[in-house]
Amino acid sequence: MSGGHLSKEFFELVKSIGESRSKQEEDKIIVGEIAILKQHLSAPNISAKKMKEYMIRAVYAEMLGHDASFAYIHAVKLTHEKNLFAKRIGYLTCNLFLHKDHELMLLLINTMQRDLQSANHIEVCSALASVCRLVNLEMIPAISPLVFKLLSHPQEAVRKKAIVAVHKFFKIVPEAVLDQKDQIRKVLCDPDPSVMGASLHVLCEIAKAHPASSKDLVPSFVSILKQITEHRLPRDFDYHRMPAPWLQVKLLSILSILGTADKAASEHMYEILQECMRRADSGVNVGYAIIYECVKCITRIFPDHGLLELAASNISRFISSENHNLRYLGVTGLAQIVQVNPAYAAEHQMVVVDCLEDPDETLKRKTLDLLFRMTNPQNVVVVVDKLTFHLRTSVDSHLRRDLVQKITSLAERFAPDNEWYVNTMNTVFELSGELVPAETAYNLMRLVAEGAGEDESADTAFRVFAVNTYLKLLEKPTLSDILVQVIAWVLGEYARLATIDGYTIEDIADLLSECIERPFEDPSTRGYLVTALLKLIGQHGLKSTTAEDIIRSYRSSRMTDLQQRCYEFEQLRQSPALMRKVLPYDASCEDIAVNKDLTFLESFVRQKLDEGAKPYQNASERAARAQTQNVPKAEVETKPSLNFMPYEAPTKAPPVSFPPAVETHDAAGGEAPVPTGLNVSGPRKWGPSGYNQPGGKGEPPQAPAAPPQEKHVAPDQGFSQVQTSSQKPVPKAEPSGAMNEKQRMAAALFSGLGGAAAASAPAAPSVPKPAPAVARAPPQEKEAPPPSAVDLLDLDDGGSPQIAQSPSPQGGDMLLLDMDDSVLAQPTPVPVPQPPPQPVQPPQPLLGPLQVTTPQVGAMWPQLASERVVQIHTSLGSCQEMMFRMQNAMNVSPVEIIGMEGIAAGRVLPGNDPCFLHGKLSPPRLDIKIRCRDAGVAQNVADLCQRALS
Amino acid sequence: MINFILLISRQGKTRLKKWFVPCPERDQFRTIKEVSSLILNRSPKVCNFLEWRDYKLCYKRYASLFFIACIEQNDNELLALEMVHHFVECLDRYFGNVCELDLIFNFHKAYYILDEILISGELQESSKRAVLHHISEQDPLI
Repeated sequence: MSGGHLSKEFFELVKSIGESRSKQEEDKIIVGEIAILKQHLSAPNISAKKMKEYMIRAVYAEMLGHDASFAYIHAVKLTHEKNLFAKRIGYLTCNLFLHKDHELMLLLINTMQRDLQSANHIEVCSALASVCRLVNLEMIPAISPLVFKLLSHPQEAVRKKAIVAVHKFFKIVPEAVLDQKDQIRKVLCDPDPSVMGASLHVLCEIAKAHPASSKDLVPSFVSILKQITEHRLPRDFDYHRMPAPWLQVKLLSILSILGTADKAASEHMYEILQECMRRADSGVNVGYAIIYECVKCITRIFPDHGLLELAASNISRFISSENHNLRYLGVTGLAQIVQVNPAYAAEHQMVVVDCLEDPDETLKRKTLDLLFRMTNPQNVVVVVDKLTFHLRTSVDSHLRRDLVQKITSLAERFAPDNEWYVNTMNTVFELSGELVPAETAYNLMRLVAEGAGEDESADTAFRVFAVNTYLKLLEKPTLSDILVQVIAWVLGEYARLATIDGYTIEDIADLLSECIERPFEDPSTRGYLVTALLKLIGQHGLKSTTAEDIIRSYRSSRMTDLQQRCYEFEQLRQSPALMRKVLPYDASCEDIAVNKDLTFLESFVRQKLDEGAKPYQNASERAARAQTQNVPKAEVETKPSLNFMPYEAPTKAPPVSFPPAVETHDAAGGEAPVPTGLNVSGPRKWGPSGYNQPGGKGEPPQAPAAPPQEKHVAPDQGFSQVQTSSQKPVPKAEPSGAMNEKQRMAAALFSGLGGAAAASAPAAPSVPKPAPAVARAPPQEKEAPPPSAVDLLDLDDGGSPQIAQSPSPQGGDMLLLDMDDSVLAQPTPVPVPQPPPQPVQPPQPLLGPLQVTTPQVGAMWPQLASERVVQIHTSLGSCQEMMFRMQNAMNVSPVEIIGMEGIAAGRVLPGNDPCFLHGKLSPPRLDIKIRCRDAGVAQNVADLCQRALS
Repeated sequence: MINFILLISRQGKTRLKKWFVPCPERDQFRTIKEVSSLILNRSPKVCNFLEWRDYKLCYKRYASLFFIACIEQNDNELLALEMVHHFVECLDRYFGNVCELDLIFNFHKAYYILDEILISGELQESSKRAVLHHISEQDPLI
């Protein structure tokens, strides 16, 4: 233990903190310590050595979470000292205590300026370290000339820190640095490699901001990378025998920026990338880091067939490794390769399914990301199911927001049909309505209003479905705001389509008015509900006293919007005919005829003009006038200085230019300025604040409109042939239940990845064949590969995963640190049990009986991911009868009957996965809830229920 | 770039913290609490990365200390771990079989070493010899 330089006092302090048993005890000690420090610091003439110790003790106090601001001024004072020792302590503590906008920074600038010009390089270095940490906008003009001068300082440590300071400047004011570009480029040729390396960071930032102006550096970067990989740098730069890995990675990331969508630049890089990957493959972690960076680079630059092959084969080694870190890199890397060519994912389907069930949260998230990127119209249902499951179980708000966004995006892009889309969106609204952007809800409403637009009867059927669904949802006790808004709108427009027995328009109106009393977070939700009631009353001439009472009671609401709606209602009620005209049925898509020239205002305008008002000018006229007047607009706007000019006379139009396009009026409401009269073309929409234009912004959801080809093919394919008896028996995988389950999942997830069949058949021996469904699936082309695509789909998979060679010679000098990384293993292909040759079997029943008790069902119920709800018009009269039918026709065992509800349990054949059924009978209606692990199975059980229990 | 480096003992005590981006003291404190509870609760059998807000945390346990680096979305996770390892190697060389107590009593030296390795969140010196050379040059001053 080396504590010799410490004073006794400080030693005791550290010791007592170390021995303290609780946070309270620790706090007490530190509070005492701070009092002592304050006392010491107020004494005159403290020696430098003492001062240093006090500062360190203050840092210590602050590290433990206490305020030590009383010491800040002393730290700044220390930097003024002549004594180098005191100065260094001063800078160090300033770095720790202050931040760039701290008021004490003013006192530091002068000292910094002086020290940057000092002859002693240690002083210069200390000052530069502080500049890097503390520089702010006001300081740059005073400091930057000095720093740029230091770029040619004889000491390499100074040059290095100076270029880092320049990097910092670039982050604050890019323009100041770009003027000195040549000087920075000179640093790239610095004789000292570490200075050169430091310059890469700022060059990388510049390349990111201005890729075009940095293209000429590509050959230089390539040649530097070449020299590094060829081991031309001094041995000092080796890290675990890898030459300068940090520089390599930085260079690779710069190259990936410069090579994006630039064929000529990318062609310079192909050779070095290949070489770099080859040389990095020496079995040490840092080598893998470089390979991973190479893969990232390869997927970003203009694609090259050979390199992609190489990248994919390296990734497949990672993904099948035992080492968790490498697996993580594998999944992440695969997600990037998949963006260039989805076929590469097919090879790893089993591993991906494994990762999805891995206990490691990080790996799971990355796998979800991978799934998101490889979604296509065929596997969308399964993928969205997986995402929804995680949305249901996760509590992390970042993850949830991300998932909501992913699900919405997938549902809008790939939805197989409208019903599925509505159901999916409802689930999302229900699970996390607060995270859904309003446009998503508008898209959904628009879909209900407009339909697919091809077949009128199909659209009506869809509307009926939507109304019924929402009616049922409304019965739930808690609903998110956004869901209530959607429900209110749909029911308000189309309530008359409801076909559920026992719901008349009056009932719906009552339900809605009950709903108003619920607590809401978004005050506009009530507005939606009131409008829905208005529409119901207006369209149907309804006499609902409850609804009217409610509306009357909200006349005194604090929300002016809500208030106004209620008053409007009062007025409209006076004349039912007018009300019907104002609130027509199913007219949300109709155009409204509006007098665009606003001729009825003519007389008013003329009167005002006669009284001396200025005539109206439109936006372009105003802009033209502003230019002719030659006001230095830009300067006035950009400079944050005080404006001493008087403001212009209010007669002139403000220089803020209205967007020339008329269609800025977005769906959110009428806040956007409307320059030339009201824009009223296009369909009308009812929103929280009256009608809105759907405008040009949010495109109508294309997905539902997409040709309904291949409805539901994906999820069913894998299973339907296994269990439904109508199909011809197919060879089917039958090893252990769990494995089988996974393979099915894999087949469902990976369906539609073009190369699936082709790639996995001859390729890796370790990868089991995909389930027959995939092999049989028509070799369908997926969507075009990303932007700069060359045709990559015809790749036949040549490269079977190669195995890494020698064990790593790592960590030789770290014997006494318990490094916990004994699993620093090579990525080796995981031997996955090969399914034995499969005998042809006759079709089997879907479920087998499972003996469980009600509490067991209760415990397992929430763990099962997939839920299906079916509503059956049944002939069954009693619960006993229902159970009997279930037992006979569906081969499940009854668990319990409670009143008119019954629970039954089965296991999914083959295997032991539970599947629970909960039936609620209210003749002639029967609601069955099905819970099991797999969405496809749930669907099949649902089908079976429909057949067996009707 | 690296946003911050944290050293946390297995009991959740902070041994060293360094932010490379401006961050008010209060937020730092909250972050430390949040991050350490996340990391201390992770099983040893999972990978050394985790997503946290819009960043990624890369951590590794050396004896009783967790070394945590917070990096940005596009950074290389494995390389960040190697950076941590490099730091540990430097500490080890400097102190000779470094242990937690060395860092407790000489935490300012650990800061100096970190300053030589990382500047404004980027690795600046991958040569252990150069780092130790600079440090030993300054040693009489510390």
